[in-house]
Amino acid sequence: MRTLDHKLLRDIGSSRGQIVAIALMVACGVALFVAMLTTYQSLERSQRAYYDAARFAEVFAHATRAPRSLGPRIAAIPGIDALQMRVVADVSLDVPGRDEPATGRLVSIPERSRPPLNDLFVREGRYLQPADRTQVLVSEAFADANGLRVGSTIGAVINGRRQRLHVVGIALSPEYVYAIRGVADIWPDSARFGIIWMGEQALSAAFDMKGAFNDLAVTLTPGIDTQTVIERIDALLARYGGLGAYDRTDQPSHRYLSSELSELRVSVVMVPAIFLGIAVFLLHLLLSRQVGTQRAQIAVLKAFGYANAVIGLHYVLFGLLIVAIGAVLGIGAGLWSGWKLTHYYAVFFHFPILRYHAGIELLAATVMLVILAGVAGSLSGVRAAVMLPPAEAMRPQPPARFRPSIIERIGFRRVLSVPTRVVVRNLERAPLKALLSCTGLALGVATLVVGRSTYDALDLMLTHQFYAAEREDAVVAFDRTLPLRARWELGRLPGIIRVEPFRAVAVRLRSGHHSRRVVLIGLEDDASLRRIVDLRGRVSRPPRNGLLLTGKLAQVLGVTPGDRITLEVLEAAKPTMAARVVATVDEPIGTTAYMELGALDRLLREGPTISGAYVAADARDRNVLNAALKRLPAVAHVAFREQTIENFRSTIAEVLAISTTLLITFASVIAFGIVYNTARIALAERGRELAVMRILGFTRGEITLVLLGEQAVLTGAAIPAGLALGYAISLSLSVAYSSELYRIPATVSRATGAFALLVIAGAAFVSAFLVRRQLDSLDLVAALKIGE
Amino acid sequence: MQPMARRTILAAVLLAIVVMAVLALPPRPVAVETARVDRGMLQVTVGAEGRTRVRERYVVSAPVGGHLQRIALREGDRVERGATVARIDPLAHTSAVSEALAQLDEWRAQRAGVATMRVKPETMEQAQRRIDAALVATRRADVEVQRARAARDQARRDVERYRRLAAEGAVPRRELEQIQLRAETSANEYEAAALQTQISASELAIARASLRELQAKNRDPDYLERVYDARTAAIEAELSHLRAEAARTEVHAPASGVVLRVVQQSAQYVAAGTPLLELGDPRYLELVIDVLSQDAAQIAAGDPIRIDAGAAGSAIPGRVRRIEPSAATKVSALGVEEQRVNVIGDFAARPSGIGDAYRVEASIVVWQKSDAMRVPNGGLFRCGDAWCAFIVENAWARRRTVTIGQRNDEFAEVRGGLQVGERVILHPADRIGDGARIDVRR
Repeated sequence: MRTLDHKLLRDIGSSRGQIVAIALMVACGVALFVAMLTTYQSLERSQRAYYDAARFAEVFAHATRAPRSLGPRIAAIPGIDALQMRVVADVSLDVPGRDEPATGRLVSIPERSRPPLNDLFVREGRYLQPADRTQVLVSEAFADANGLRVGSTIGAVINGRRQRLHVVGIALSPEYVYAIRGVADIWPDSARFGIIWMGEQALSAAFDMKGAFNDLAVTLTPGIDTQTVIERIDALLARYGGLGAYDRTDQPSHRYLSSELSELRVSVVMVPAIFLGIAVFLLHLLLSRQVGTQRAQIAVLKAFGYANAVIGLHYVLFGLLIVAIGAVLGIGAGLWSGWKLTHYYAVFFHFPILRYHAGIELLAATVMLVILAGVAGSLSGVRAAVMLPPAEAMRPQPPARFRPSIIERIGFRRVLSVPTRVVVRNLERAPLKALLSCTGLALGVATLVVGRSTYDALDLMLTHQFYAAEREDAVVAFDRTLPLRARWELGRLPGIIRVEPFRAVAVRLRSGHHSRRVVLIGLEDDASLRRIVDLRGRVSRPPRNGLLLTGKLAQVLGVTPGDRITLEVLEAAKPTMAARVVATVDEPIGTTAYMELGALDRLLREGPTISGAYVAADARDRNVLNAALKRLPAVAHVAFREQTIENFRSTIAEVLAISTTLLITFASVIAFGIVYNTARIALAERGRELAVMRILGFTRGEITLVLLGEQAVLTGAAIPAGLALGYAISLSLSVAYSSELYRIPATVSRATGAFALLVIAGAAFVSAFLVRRQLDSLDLVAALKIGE
Repeated sequence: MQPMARRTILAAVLLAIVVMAVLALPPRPVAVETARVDRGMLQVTVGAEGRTRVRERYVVSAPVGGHLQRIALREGDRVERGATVARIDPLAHTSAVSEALAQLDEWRAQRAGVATMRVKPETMEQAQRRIDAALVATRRADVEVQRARAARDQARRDVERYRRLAAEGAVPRRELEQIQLRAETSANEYEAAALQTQISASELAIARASLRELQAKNRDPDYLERVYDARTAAIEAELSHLRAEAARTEVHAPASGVVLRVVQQSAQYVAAGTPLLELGDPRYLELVIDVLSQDAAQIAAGDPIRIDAGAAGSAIPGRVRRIEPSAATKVSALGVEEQRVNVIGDFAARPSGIGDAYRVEASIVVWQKSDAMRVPNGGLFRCGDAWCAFIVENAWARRRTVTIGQRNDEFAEVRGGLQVGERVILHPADRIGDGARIDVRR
C-alpha cells in the first residue's frame, strides 16, 4: 500500500494547480452551505428559544376600546391558554437630538409583575417600578439608533398632551424582533420607530382607557384549531371595534422573520448545489484524464497483482483527498462567514441572545455531502481504471479519430488556420465535455448576473417606489381619522407646497374561500405625489366605482377585473358589502386595495375624513416644518421620503458591497476552476502533440491558440448563455420569491451584464495566462518521452 | 492565418469586450417623466372649508306659549308670505291671566270697601228731615207767637177796660181780677211762644249744621275711589291684552320661501319664543368660509373663490363679499388653537344642486395671472437657497437655477431660468445629475 500512498501524494503534487482549483470550488460550495445552514439554524433556534422563553403570543387582536371585564369570557374560549390585555397606541415622539418627529408605539405592561405573554428581556436598566408613572422601557434598536440610555428623557405627545418620559430600561420583545410599524412597511427604521413600554395604569389613564384595553394577545393550547379561536375572539370583540384577530403568520415581525428564514432555506439548497455540481464535473475531468495518462502505470500495478478494488480505492482516495481539502477550507470559511452572517442579521432582527450555533449533525451532513460529491466526481474515472484490462493498458491509448469538422466540411476549411482547425476538431470530438465546461462557465456568469440583478431589482423597486409611485417629501399620519379640513391646516404649516390627503382603512376581502386582511387606501383622483403606478410606469387612477387591487392580491384571492368580492370593513361602522374589482396593478411592494377618496368615504358611510396626507415641502424649511409637526397632537408619525431612501440606499450599499465581493470571488473561482482545469488537462493530454507541433515549426502563439482557443470559444459561448441563464434564473427567482410582502421584479441591467462579462473574461484571461506560462516552460524532450 | 492577423483579431476581441463593458457599465438612462414649461393661468389660493347658508334666514318662533298643533309642513315645502305655518291652542288659564283676574277682584273689593266708609243715605235723609221738621216747628212757633201776642194784647186791653169799669165799679172786682189773671197768662203764653220760636230756630240751625257735617263726611272716600278705579282700569286693560294674546293662535310666515327645517314637528306644549321652523330661499345662498386670521389678511373683498361642493364636475365660481371684522379662537382638526375669521362670499351664479348649510371646499384666489410662465412643482427642487430644475436637452439632463415667483400647490411662476417650451424632469431621481443620460417616458 505504501507504493500507492506515495503515488497518491506524487499525483497530488503534480497536478496541484488543478487540485487547488477544484478544492476551492468545493470550499466555496461547502462554505456557502455551512454558512447559510448554520445561519438558518441559529436564527431558527434563537427564534424558537426566544418565543418560548418570552411566551410569544399566538393570536393577536385589536379593538377600539373593550372592557377588561371581557377578559374572563375570552379566557373561557376553548383552546386559549393565556391572555394579555393591553393598551397600545402610536404617538409622536420628540427625541433629543433628532429634528424630525419619531413614532413611538406605546405598549402597556403591568407595573407590579412581568407581562404574562410577550415578556420583555431587559437588556439594560430595570423593569418598571409602580411609583413613577413617567418611567418607560425603550426598545433596544430605537435606543441604539437615537443614543438613548437609561436615564434619558424623551418627549411624547400622548393623547394630545405633551409629556416627558424617563427611560429606566432598554428592552426587547418577541413581538418586535423585526421592528416595523405594520405590514405596509418593508424596511425597519430603527431611528424613527421605537417601542415604548409604559405602565398599564399610566397608559390607561393617559388614553382614557381605565378598565379597558385595545389590544389582545393570547396563547393557545397545543392542537387547537387557530381559526376557530380567531372566529370566537372576533365575535366577542366585534361590539368593541374589534379589527379582526390574526395569528402569527400575519404578525408583522414574525411574518418577516419567517419569510427571511424560508428564503434562506431555499438558498441553502440552491447556491451550494451549483458549486458542488461544478466541482463534481471538474473532478470527473481530472480523474478521467489522470486515469487516461496513467494507463500504463495502472497496467503495471495490475500486473504486479494489485487488486482492482485497491486501484479503485486509490483513485477514490485521490478524489476524496481533493474534496477533503476543499471541505476543510470550506467548513472553516463557512463557520466564520456563518458567524458573521448571523451577527449581520442581528442588525435587522433583535433577539436578546443571537448565539451562533453549528450543530455536529450539520457538520456530519456536510462531510457526507462532500464525500458524496467526491465519490460522484471520481466514479467514472475509477470505473475506467478498474475496468481497464492490464494487457490493453500496457499499450498506449489509441489515438482519437481525427477528421474534418463540420465547419471545415461546410467550406470554412480555407479560412481556418491549422491551429484553429485543431481547436474546432477538439471541440467537436468531445461535445459532452465541451457542453459541460460551457455549462459550468455559464453558471459562473449566471451567478454573477443573478447576484447583481437582485440589486438591479432593488434599484428598480426603489426608483419605482420613490420616484414614480410615492413622490411626496413626507407622509404624515394622524392618530385617528380627521375631517378633511385638516388638509388645509396641514397646508398652512411652514414650507408645505402641496397636500394630498388619504384615507386608510383596514378591511377584509373575501372571495370564495380566500380571504385577506389588507389596507384599503383612498386617494384623490388627481393625486400627483402618491400615484398608483405599475412597474412599467403606467399610472392607474383610483376608481370611483369599485376596487383597484395589487395584482398579487387579486391573484391570491383568485379574482380578475370584473369579479365581485365581499368587502368587510373592520373599522368605524363596519359595513360589509359586495364590491367590484375594477382593475389590478402590478406593484412590487405589499398588497393593497385602492379607491377614490370620496368613493371610499361614501362606502364607509362617513363624511370626508382622512387618515393622513402625502405632502410636498420646501427642503429649506425642513427644520421649521419638523418643529411644527412635532407640536401637532394629532400627528402620529411622519416619514420623510428622503430619509427612507437614504436609509434604504445605505443598507443596500452595505449589503451590495459585501455580496459583490463574494460574487466576484465565487465567479472567479468558477471561471478559474473551469478554464484553468480544462486547459491544464488539455495540456497534459496533448503535451506530446504540442511538443511535436513546436518541433514542426509552429510558434508558441500558435500552440497557445491550439490549447487555449478551445477555452476561449467555450468562454465566448458561455457568456451569452450565462447571461441568458442568469436572466432566466432571475425570472424564476422573482416568481419563487414573489410573496405578498413584495415582488422582486426580474431585471438585469446592462451594467450587471457588463460586470458579469468583465469578471468572467478577466478570470478566464488570468487562468489562460497561468496556463500559457506553463506552456512556455514546456519541456519538449520530456513531453516527447511520454508513453514508453 | 498570419500571426499578425491573429494578434489583430485577439486585440479586436479584447477591444470589443472593453468597449462593450465601458458602454454598458455606466448607469442606464434613467426613465423620467417630463412636463413642459408653459404659459397659462396661475392662481394662488387660500383653501378652507366653508359652508353655504341662505342669505335671509327666518326663524319662526312660537309667539305665545301654548299647545302647538302638529306642523304639517315638511322641509322643502314652499311657503308664501303670510301663510299660516303653525297653530297654537290658547291657554285656558295662564298664570298671568289668573293673576290679573285676582288683582282685579282685589281692587274691586277694595273699591267696594271704600263705599262702606261713606255716611249712610238714611242718616242724610234723617238730617234733612230734621231740618224740614225744624223748619216746620219754627214756622209753627212763629204762628204761635203771633197768636200769643194777639191774645196778650186782647187781654191787656180787657184789663184796661175792666179796671175803669171796676173803678166805676161797674163790674165786680172779682171779675176784674179774673181778667187781670187772663192777661197775665196770655203774656206768659206769648213769652213762651217767643221762646219756642227761638228754640225752633236753633233746632233748625242744629239740623242744618248736622247735615253739613254729614255732607262733608260723605265727600272724603272719593279720592280713594278714584285710586281704586284707576287700578281696576289698569288691570282690566292688562287682562284684555292677555285675552287678546291668548286668542292669537295662528303663526304666519314672515316671508316667502322654503321650509328649511321644521324644528318642532310634533304636537307639544311650547313656550313663547320656541323656534318652530326655519324659512329661507335656498336659491339665494352665500358662503361662510372660516379662514385663519393670518390668511384673511391676504384676502380682500371681491377676490374670486373657486367652490367645490363635492359634486362631480368643475368648481363653481364665487366672489368674496366681506371679511368679518372679528376673529374667534377655534381648535383646529389637528388639535391646536388658532384664530379664525369668517369670510362671506357670494356665488357668481345661482348654484344648482347645493342647498343650505352644505359643506364646501373653497379656494379663495388671492393672486392670479392668466399668462404666467409656469412650471409644475414636481420639476423644482432646492439647491441651496435657490430653486433648480433639470431640463431635457436631447437625451441629457441639464441643471438650471430657476427664479420663481408665486406658487400654488401645482405650479410655480417662473421669473427666470427657464423658457416656455422647455421640458423639465418631474420628480427627478437622486441618480439624475447635471449631464445624466435620461430616457423620457411617454
